Amino acid sequence: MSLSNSKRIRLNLPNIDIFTFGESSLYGYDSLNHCLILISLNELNDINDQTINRLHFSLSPTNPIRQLILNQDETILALISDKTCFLVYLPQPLKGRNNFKSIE
Amino acid sequence: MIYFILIKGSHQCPLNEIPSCSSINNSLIDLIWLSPIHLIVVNSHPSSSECHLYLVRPSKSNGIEYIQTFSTLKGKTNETSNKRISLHQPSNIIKLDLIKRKENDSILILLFALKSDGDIFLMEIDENQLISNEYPLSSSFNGPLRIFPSTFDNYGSDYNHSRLLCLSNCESIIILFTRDKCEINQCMYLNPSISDYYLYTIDSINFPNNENNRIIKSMIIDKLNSNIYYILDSLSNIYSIEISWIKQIKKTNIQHLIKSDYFIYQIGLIQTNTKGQCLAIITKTSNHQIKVSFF
Repeated sequence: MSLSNSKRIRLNLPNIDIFTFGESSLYGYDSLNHCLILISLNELNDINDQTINRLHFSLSPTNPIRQLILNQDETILALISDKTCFLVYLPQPLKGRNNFKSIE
Repeated sequence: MIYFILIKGSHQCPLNEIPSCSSINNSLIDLIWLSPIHLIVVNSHPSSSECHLYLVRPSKSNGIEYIQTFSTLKGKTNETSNKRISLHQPSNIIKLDLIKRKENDSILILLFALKSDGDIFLMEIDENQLISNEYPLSSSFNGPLRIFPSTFDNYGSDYNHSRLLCLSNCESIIILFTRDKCEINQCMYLNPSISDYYLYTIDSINFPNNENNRIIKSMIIDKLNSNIYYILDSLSNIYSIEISWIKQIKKTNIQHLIKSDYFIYQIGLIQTNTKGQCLAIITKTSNHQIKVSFF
């Protein structure tokens, strides 16, 4: 196994450096725009056509987020900062693209 | 404090702060989900030797309900512990992990707490009691767990970069904990009788630590192969580790999978429609492009 024979996708996500994996999704936190992104990864053959969904916050957490922890059924996401924890109740169905605003 | 996420259309998702975490002097040490709506939090304030249980009700406006606090200081210290006597201040919980085990008609949640002095505590929680809201729970921490065979240095002294991970298969529960940055101890959890718990170290894996202060950044479980786990180190190496001694005495199989030229943020396992399961790694290039690679 090496990086040369892997399947890769390139994503332009300049402000996102905190991630967590769901069962078949990738979640990231955008520290500049204070929002979550969600990328469905369950169709690797169609990965370039994946839509990146975004969930916006109306207010920003006061401390930088350093970790994301999903619950077991991917309905609640914990945003961990050094000082505190915020819970996001994720809309269901989670991967229903119509519920999210897509990145252009 | 409630924030809102604005979503396309009229949807709004509240963003709720866990109340006990909002103290100015507080640092949040760890959080773990016991169930889809129950979580345990460790804070530095008022005591990092305690865990706090919360129930989350997404349908309610003030939906985060504090349930109970559990302290490792009240644990049943084992009189015959082989671990060294500690003379310093009570140590902090630095990492939590859990595993579930079927027991007769019920499911037990085994919650392990690794402390900064290397002590490991255990709490058993009846899942039925938890989900049926029978509070307060009758559970309490036991420990520190005895670790056999005993070692001259108590399985290490530097636990600041430690990780704790529980593996399970149908026969045995395996506990992994790192110490001194680059050593992984693979222990079998043994519970021969009620209130008698200990860990037996079957194998220890040492990674060379003479290059750039390598530390183990993360360990993840292969959910489809319960005796395999993956580790990521600070030098962007990924290894797969297969525990072969569960059924027969064989050496642990360590395979170096990847050395990335780019910094690896995170690794994970993804279920896919086409390939079943893939190891996914996230790297970032110098021009801020995120790359997700699948194997």
